[in-house]
Amino acid sequence: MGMAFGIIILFAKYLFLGLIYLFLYWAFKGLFAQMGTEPRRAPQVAAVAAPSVAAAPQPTLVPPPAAAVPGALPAFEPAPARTRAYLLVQDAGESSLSQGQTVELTAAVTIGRAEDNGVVVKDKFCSGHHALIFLQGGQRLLRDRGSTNGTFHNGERVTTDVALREGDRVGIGTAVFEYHAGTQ
Amino acid sequence: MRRTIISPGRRSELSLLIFSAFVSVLGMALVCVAMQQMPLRALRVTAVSAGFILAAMLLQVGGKSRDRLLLPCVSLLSGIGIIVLWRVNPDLASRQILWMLLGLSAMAGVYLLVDDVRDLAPYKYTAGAVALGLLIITMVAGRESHGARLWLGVEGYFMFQPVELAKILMSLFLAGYVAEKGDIIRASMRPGVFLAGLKHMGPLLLVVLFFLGAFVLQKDLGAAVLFLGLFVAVSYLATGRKTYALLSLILFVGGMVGAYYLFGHVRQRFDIWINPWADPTGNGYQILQGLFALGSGGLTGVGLGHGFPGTIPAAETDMVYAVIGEEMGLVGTLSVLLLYVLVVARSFDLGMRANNQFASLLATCLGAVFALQALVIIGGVLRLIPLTGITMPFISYGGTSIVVNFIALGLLLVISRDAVPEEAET
Repeated sequence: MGMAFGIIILFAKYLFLGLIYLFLYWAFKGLFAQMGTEPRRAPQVAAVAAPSVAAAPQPTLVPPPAAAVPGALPAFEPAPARTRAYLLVQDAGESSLSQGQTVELTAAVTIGRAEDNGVVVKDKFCSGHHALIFLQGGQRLLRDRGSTNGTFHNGERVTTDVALREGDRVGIGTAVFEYHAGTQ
Repeated sequence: MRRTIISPGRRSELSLLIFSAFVSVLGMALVCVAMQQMPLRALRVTAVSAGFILAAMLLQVGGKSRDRLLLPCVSLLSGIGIIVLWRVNPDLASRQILWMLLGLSAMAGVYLLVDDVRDLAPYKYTAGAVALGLLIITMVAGRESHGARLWLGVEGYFMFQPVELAKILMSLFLAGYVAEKGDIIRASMRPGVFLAGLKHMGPLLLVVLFFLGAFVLQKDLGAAVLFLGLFVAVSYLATGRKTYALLSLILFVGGMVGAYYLFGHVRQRFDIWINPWADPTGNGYQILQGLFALGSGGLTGVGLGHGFPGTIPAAETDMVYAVIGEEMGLVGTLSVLLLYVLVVARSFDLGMRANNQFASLLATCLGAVFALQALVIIGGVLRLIPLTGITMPFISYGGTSIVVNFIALGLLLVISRDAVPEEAET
C-alpha cells in the first residue's frame, strides 16, 4: 500500500461523510420549505381539490358531544375548548347536518354535496363543490368554488378569499356554520 | 416563476435517491477495500438503492402527488445500515438486502392496495385484538433467545417477532380510538366531569397497562418503554393538554420505579446503567465495549472497515450505533440522528397536513414510534438511559423489523397522497 493510496482512502473517508451532510442539507431545505409559516401564495383550487380529497368519501363530522355521553354532561354552551379550529353547525337548514354538530378543520377542507368533499353537505341548495376553507400564513381563508347559490360570510356573499375570525358565520346552502379558531 | 429559480429545497426525489445511492456505493467501496474484499462486491448495495428508485417510480403510477422526502431519507439510512452490517458480518448484510427488497415490495403493496387510509379505521379493535393475541401466544409458545421470549413461528421455516408487528397494530388502534373518542375525551376534561374522561381514556389506559405487563414479563423492556412513550404521546394528542401528558409521564416514571422494585431483571439493567464498572467482564461488558468503540471513534471515526466491531456483543442489532460511532465518528452518528429527525419531522408535518383526523393521528403515532425507537436505543448505547433491546429503524439487522418499518413507511405515503399537497402551501 503506497502513500498515495492511503491519501486517496483518507480523502474518500471525508468525502463520504461530507456527502452525507450535503444530502442532509438538501433534505432539510426540502423539509423547511414545506414547514415554513411565512405568508405564501394562495393554493390552486385544483391542486388542493383534485387528488387530495378525492379519496375522502366520509365527512369529518362529529356528533354533538353532549348527545354522545348521555347523562354524563349537560348540554354545554359554548362548545368545549378544542385544540383545532372547527365549524359548529348553528343552523342545519334543510341539509343533512344537525344543529350542534362540529366539523374539525385540517389544513384544507372542501365543502359540498359531492362525496369527494372533506365535508359532505346533503342540501339541494349546496353545489357539488361549494367552498374551500384552507390555512395560509396562519390564517384560515374561506373561498367560494363557483357555487350556484353562493357562499356567505357574515351574511355577505363571498367573491374573493376572505379571512375567518372567531365567531364568524359561514352560510352554505341553507346551513349556517359558526367558525371557531380553537385554542391553538 | 418558481421553476426559474434553481432551489435546492426543491431538488427532485429522483436526484436525491440517486445521490443517496452514490453515497452508499462509496461507503461500501471503502468497507470492501479495508476488508480486502473485491471492491466489486460493493455493488451489492446498489440492489437496495435500485429497489428504492424502482419503488419510487412504481409509486408514481396514477400520477397522484405524494411525499417526496421520506423515500430518499430512508434510502440513505438503509444504505448506511447495509454498510455497517457488511462491516460486522457480510452474510447478515446480504440477507438484510433481501429483507429490504421484501420490505420495499410490502411498502409498494400497501401504497397501491390501500385506497384511503380511513378504510383501515374500522379495523382498529381488530388490530388491537390481534396485537394482544400475538403477544399472548408468544408468551405461551414463543421461542426463547437471550433470556426473552420474542419469537413466534416454526423454527427453520418461518420465524418473526410479534412485538414489531404490534407497533403498527397499536398505532392503528390508538389512532382509530382517539379519532373516534377524542372529542368526547376533550369535552369531558372540564372540572367536575373527570370521571367521564376516565370512562373513555380508561380503556386506552387498560390496554397500554396490559401491554406493559406482557412486555415486562417477557423481559422485553425496550418494547415496554416504547409503548409507554406512545401512550404519553397519544394522551397529549387526544387531549391537547400538557397536564394530561404530564399525568401519563408521571405514570411512566411510576411504572418504571415499580418495575425496578418488582422485577430482578429490570433492577439489573438499571444497576448496569448506573455503574457498568461493577461487573466489567460480565453484565457491564456490552455497554462498556460500546462506549470504548464510541470513544475510539472520536470526531470523524477510525474509517470504515478499520474498527473492531467483533468485540461488541450484538453489534449487528442493539449496538449498531456504537459501530457507526467507531468507524464514522461523532460526525457519522450525528448524521444518522439527523436522518431520523427528518423522517420523524416529516411524519409530524404530514400529521398536520392530513385531511382527516384518523390519518393525522396515525401519521403522528407512526412518527412517534420511529422517534421513540431511535431515542431509546441510541440513548441506551450512549448510556444516557438504561440500555434496553430495541431495533434501530432501517439499520438494525432483523427481517420483521425491516419489513414492518417499510409497511409503516407505506402507510405514511398513503396519508401523504391524501394530504394537502406541498404545492398548495408553496
